[in-house]
Amino acid sequence: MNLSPPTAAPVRSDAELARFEAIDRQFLEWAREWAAEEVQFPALIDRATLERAEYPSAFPHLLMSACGCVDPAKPLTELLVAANLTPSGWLLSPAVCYHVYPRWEGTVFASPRIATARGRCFRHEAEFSPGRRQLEFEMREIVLCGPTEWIDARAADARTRIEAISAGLGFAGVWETAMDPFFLPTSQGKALIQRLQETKKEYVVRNPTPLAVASINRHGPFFGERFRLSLASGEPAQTACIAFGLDRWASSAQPA
Amino acid sequence: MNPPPVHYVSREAFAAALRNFINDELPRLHPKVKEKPNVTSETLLFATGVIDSMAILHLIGFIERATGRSIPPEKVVMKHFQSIAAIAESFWEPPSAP
Repeated sequence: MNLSPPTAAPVRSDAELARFEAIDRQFLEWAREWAAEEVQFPALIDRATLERAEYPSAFPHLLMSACGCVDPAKPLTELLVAANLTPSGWLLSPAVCYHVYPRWEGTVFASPRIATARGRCFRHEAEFSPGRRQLEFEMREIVLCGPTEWIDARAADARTRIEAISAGLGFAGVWETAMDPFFLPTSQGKALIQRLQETKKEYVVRNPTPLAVASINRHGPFFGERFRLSLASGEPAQTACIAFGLDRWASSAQPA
Repeated sequence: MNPPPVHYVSREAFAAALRNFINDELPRLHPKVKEKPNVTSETLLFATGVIDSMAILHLIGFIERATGRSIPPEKVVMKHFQSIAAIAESFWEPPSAP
């Protein structure tokens, strides 16, 4: 009988943890080769930041909020019911990169910039399948800001590097044009534009059914306009992020 | 109930209907589209910003009504949508024999 309490994400120790860290180290070393700034962000993110990034309107079904109790003196049976919960103004980070754009806010980029961070992320998924779909998961991201041609070159390099890292871990995937799971019918157009312009590419492996382990997301000037990231020319800077679902990489990697 | 599809007798007629839809009807349906975008069959609809995330929904709705067929996800790629000529080439089919 398993007496362990349920967990929202896999629990790792010893060899399994070492293997997980070794996978992430490959992405970190890559980011260091690109001279990325290494940053650590909190798990909670300001609601206003996500609203400026238009996350709540695009993905309301994935949002998770940190709440406090209206009346902490309520009996335990009533303590955590909806009527006794009050939003704190903090949301659980759905991705790491949303912390980066406000950090760069107001910057005029004389030269391109890269940041990398790893963090625990949270999405209100309907199902829990360890290593595939989790409420809580670990993500490494490499975030790029600069002119289009520079981002194009980095994205091409990223594809090669991701293929090499997965081959080293004993699996291979294919690149697919992807659409984010936008919620509202009016957001379906965003998903279609994303697909038409191929702004999101996912590296999909068979594990045993298709599973995206990494994505390359080109945002164009979207975040540049919303967070005042500018090029020296005055134009909004372009951004992109390369995201790695570390739990998915760990579940796809072949045993050493 | 959806109206029956309109059968355009030629690819050119379908392209002309698309042009009229984008130039005349779309600005009324979606005010962000500038009043009379004056697109031609070769205008790049996305690169020029004529079609945005709301306009694409109207455009797909028009194509599906005009052809009487749903557009499968695998056909939602830029080569089929980049211009009116590309849309007509990809989605118009001759009317079937009675």
